[in-house]
Amino acid sequence: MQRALILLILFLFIPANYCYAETSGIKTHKNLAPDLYEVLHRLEDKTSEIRTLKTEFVQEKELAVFKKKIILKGMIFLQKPELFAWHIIEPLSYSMVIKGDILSQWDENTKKIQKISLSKNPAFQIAISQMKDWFSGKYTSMTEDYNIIILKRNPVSLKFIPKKNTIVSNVIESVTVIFRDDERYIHQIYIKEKSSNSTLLTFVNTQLNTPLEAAAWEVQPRVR
Amino acid sequence: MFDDYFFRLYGSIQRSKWLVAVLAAAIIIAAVIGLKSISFDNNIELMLPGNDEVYRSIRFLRESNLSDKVILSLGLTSSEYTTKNLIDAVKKLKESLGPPLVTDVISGISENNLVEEMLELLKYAPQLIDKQNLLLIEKQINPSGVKESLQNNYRQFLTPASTLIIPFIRSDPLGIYSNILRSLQKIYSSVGYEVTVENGYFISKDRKHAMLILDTPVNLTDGFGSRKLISYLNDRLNILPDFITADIIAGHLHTVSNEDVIKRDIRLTLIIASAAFILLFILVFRDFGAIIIFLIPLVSVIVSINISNLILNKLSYFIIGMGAVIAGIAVDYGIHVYTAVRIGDSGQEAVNSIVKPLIIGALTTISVFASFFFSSVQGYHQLAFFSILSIILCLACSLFILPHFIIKGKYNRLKHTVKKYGEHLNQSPLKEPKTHDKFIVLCWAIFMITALILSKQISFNSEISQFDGSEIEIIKAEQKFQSIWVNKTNPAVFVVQGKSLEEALNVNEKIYREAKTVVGEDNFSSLAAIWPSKQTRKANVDRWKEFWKQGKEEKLRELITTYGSDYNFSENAFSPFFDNLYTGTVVEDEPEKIKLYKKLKERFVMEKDDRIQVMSFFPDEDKYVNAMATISGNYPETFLVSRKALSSLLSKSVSSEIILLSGIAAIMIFLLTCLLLKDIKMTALALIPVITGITAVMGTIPFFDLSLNAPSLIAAMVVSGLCIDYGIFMVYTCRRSLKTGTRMAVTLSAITTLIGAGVLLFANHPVLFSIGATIVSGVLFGYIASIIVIPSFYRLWLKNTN
Repeated sequence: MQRALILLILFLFIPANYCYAETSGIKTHKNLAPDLYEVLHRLEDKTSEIRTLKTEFVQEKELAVFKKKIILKGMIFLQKPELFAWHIIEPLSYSMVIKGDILSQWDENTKKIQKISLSKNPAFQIAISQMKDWFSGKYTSMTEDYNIIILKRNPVSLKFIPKKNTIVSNVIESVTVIFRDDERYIHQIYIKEKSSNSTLLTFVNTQLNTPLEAAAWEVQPRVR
Repeated sequence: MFDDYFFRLYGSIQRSKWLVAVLAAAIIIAAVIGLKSISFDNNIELMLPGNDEVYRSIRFLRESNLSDKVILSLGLTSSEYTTKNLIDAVKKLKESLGPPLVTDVISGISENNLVEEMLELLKYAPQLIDKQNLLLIEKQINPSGVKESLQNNYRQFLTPASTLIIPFIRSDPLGIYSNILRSLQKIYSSVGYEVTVENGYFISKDRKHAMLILDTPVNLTDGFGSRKLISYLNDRLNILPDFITADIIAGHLHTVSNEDVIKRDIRLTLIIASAAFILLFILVFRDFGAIIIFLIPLVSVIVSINISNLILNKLSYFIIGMGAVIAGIAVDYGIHVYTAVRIGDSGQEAVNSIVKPLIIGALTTISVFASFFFSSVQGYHQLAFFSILSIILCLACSLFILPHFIIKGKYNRLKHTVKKYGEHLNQSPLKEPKTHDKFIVLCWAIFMITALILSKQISFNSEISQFDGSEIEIIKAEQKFQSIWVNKTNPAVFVVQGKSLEEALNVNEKIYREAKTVVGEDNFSSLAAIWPSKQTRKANVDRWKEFWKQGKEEKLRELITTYGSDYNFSENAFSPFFDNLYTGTVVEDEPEKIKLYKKLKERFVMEKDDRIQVMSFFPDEDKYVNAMATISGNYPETFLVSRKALSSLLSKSVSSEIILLSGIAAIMIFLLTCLLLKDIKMTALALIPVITGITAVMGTIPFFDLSLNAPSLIAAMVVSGLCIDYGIFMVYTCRRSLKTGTRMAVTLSAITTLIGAGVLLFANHPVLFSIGATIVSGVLFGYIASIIVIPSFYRLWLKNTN
């Protein structure tokens, strides 16, 4: 609860009367290098066909606060336009489901369902919207917040470096995305934080456009 | 004696009538030119009762930081476009706005520095955490407390949003700063806007609207500046793409709109009134010379505006709006003189026969306006001065200038009309009572009873907003803004004043402590909750140092090390907390480095001249307002501003004010009428139109689903002044059997007044409309009573005494 409070605080300055406005100009895909534009466009075209996503994941977190790397295993479900679920099975049971503006979460320690309005919780909103953007393949729209470099063309590997004066630039140094050979979906996402923390997210057994069971959108204990 | 002076003056003007005419023409030309330099005042304070609390509240609301701000609410009109498109357009618009009319544009919060700022503020925890919170921290520094906190932290690190909250958890492993953060949350939620932030921009919950808050140096009461600002903003808004609509939400818009509405109303009413007056005189009198009757009140009003402006410095628009009504009243004198001269054989004798009722009629009307000088409303003083001056000028011109320019032709249309119908209409009232007299009195009694029954449903509207005649588009835009952005009603404000910030903060703390017990901590949003006075912060720091240096720091380190390994936490996982334990122990006056503090200060602190005002906010509900008013009573340097309480206070002030003025006016009317007629029965008869007119107003207003307000009450007093004139003339005529066409003159007087006030029914401004409705209903029934009811009563009641 205390943390939820911290998150709430992040948007508390909504009515405040000061502004540290961004001064950077508006860049659109028209400002991109032709080859990058071509790659992003191609990837976006392929991912735009995705209506539903069901995938297992392995998340390796190397955080300064932990002595050892932490490995999380779980499932991700996505159904466009507004359903998203993140279920962790190991090392502890944790579920997070987003339906529109409402985020519901449950964990095995508290065993309680907590509901949060995303519009009232910008920290979550930012994190979730970033995640959804990655998972949904909205790459051209990311060019406003990131400078993008093509690391490899086969399979495609892109490096996203946050632009200055964006909120992610405070904490993230870079995000590397490696696509599957068929380019229909992501294979891995590697997030390098400024504080030397890092997270590697690997997608396993990814199923695209398959019907998703209703249970995917329920916050409940998952079988380990 | 009076006759002597009158004849001498009348004669000397007659001898040099052309010189007087030239002089009058010169004055008129000067007055018309002078109109251009008149400065009008749109300040609502002019129309408020002189109650210190009312003034203070209104002034506070006007001068508060929020009232001068301009808000632009921008919305997507098509679902084909996204929030990103909206933000792009808002960015462009923001860049296009600038000095001198816009000094700052707040589009949202740049999230990039937010985390750092929050962490920076938390470093000041030693100054902000009080004794009670230290006790709570102490309770957590034990194995179970630390274990529970670490378990929570571990879980938080595994959530998808962990990247953003890691720095917070590392800086506060026990969550001991949560009270600071909770206070901040409460403080900001008290504003009542429902806003999210996207890419650093204020976005509505439906993600289809964005908001820009503009700072402007243009004062709300500055009509010219407001017009310039609104025009500038409208021009800038043109750069927005077609799929975006924009609404301006600003007090300045009301200033401009009210000015426009009143100006348009005045123009419209003057045109309609002028046309109607001219048409009436030409049709009835068939004499172009009769136009002079219309010109006299018009000129009197114009000259009065100039003189009033010279003496009073500034004139309210509301008062000028009354110009048509004053012209309608003042034209009566010219009508009586004109009718008498045209019908009578000698001009001088005709004027002489009506001069006394004319002067007494004017005096009763003047007495009504004079009673306004007893009011504490400055605007009423202006109205009284302006009206009395207009009436005196008009009366003087009607008596001394008009008769010399009335040409008696061979065929006198007016005389012919009066002769034709006058024998019937102007029959001697001394004849035996007729059967229909009793019927008329019965009908009158039924009408009075019906109106009195209807008047029971009358309600009084004291809302300040009724004075706002802004165009419907502005009101609609504000309603739309409320539905998109606002989730709460405006809070009440508790204000602490001090010579210095420290002095005000000291009192503010005491108030906060008391308010928490009577209003509740959750309901009272105070700066004291997050930023106490320097004195308190020093005490907190001393306590904090003592607390941690008693071995608690070591104990907590040990516990975290012991139980942290169960959760795989590294040794330095929470080092930021221990590193900053004493960082914020240097007590400054104000933490200049913290931008968050600046934001808080802007919301809670207002610097005014040599005073500092610290504000706190709480729900504007009677129980809380009453409780806080009791607290305020114990602190002379404090006051509270509640919109609800202000409305009720205004209602009380206006009611008592009107009762006083009505009483004074009623006494003055009665005394003056008695003085002229020197007969209590005749006075009672003369008062019939007054009683009928006022009762009709009281019955008509609820009948048309209107409510009574201060301006309509003032108009009701004007109705009394007019109706008593009709009563006096009719009673005077009945008694003296005058052959001066009194009925015709009274009828024309009533028609002109009805035209003057009737045109206000076409006005858009609610104040002018309510004035029009009151005068039309009152004068119409007052006139009917004077023409029909007075003669019947006279014949039934006074025939034997005469």
